[in-house]
Amino acid sequence: MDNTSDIMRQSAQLDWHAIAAQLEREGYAVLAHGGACDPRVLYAGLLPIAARWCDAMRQAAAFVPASDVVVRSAGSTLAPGHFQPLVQDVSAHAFPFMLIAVLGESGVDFTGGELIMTEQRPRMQSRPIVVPLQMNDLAILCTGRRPVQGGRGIYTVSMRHAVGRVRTGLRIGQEWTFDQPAGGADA
Amino acid sequence: MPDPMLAQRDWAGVAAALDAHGHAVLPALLAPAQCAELAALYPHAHHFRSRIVMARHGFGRGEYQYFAYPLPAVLQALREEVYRQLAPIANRWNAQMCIATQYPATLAEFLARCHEAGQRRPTPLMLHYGEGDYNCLHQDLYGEHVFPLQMTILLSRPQSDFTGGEFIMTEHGAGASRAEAVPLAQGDAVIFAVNQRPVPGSRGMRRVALRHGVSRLLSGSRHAVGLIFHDAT
Repeated sequence: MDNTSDIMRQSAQLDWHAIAAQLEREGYAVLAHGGACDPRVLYAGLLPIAARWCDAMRQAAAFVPASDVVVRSAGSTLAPGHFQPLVQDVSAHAFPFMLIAVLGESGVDFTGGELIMTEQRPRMQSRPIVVPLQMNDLAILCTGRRPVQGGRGIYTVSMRHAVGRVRTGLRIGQEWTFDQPAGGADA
Repeated sequence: MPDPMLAQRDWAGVAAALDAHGHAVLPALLAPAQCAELAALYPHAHHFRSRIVMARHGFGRGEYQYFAYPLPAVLQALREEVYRQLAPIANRWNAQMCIATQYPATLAEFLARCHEAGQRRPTPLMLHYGEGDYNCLHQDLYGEHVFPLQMTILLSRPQSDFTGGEFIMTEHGAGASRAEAVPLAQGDAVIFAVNQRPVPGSRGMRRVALRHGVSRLLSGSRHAVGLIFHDAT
């Protein structure tokens, strides 16, 4: 990505209204054929949503602009019997979203290996979620806490994500997280 | 009367899968016609003792009904025979978890124990989910007496009757928590731990706690039967 105006131009081409609505309903959003998107472009679009969520949860957070964020990419290869445990990132200054792609076709290249989330709610049972992620898609996941509009104001739920046990084949996955450089943004 | 077909199932394989994963799938336990016949009972209230709308209790979205006694013959037979096969596994698990309770060989003896303790109401149930419905992660505990394994049978056809709506299990122990989607076809049964199961640790057996639920239906309609072996207060 060359410069900030390129990032902003590409980001503006995505339907952020629909993405935000899905994130606020489910805690994830799937971009069909989003696998080719530049993570930095998505970060730019997610920034205002992240700011709004932190504000709703009365959480002070200031995230750096897309040009300064440290994009960390990690790959994983899961063989039959392998899984990834339920994890979350609720550290104070963590960016609330990450990206996940799967580089193979479910049901063809592998079986099992579903992208599963749980949503822990105050004084209620947790909701299980299967993210309908397919090859060439890109999933945006909420990495930890998120605000939910309830009947009597906003409450906070806690999201975790996991990969279910691979039954057959090899499941090759890729994920991107957005680290804030030391010192953070000038709030 | 033991069902010879059911007795010939791979119960050693079921025990091994339960030990390894906390759940085991019995493929094609019911034929498609049996599934359709059971699902067709759902609108007829006289088969059921009560109806629960999940959203009213924060259990999720969708509904279920508890069967009234007498259960449909096919479910009564399955409850008796599957209990007979699972009781030895339940007894071994309890011994491994240092839980003193041991279970009798037959369902009739175990239910007599439940009924004496005031747990007299039938717990077998049928669930119905429509588009957007889901079931939160939970445990089916109904009183002092708990049989530690239970069974769910999927009556609908994935992909053609519904999409989404996957059976999810989570496991929480001393170490990492995990989640799993259990792939089921129409007529398949999943047997799973109600509450806790033993897992080998570095210093002997430890306990992990399981919960089960269903992810949101993306489209269609999904019926399932739950066979719980203890009755409810």
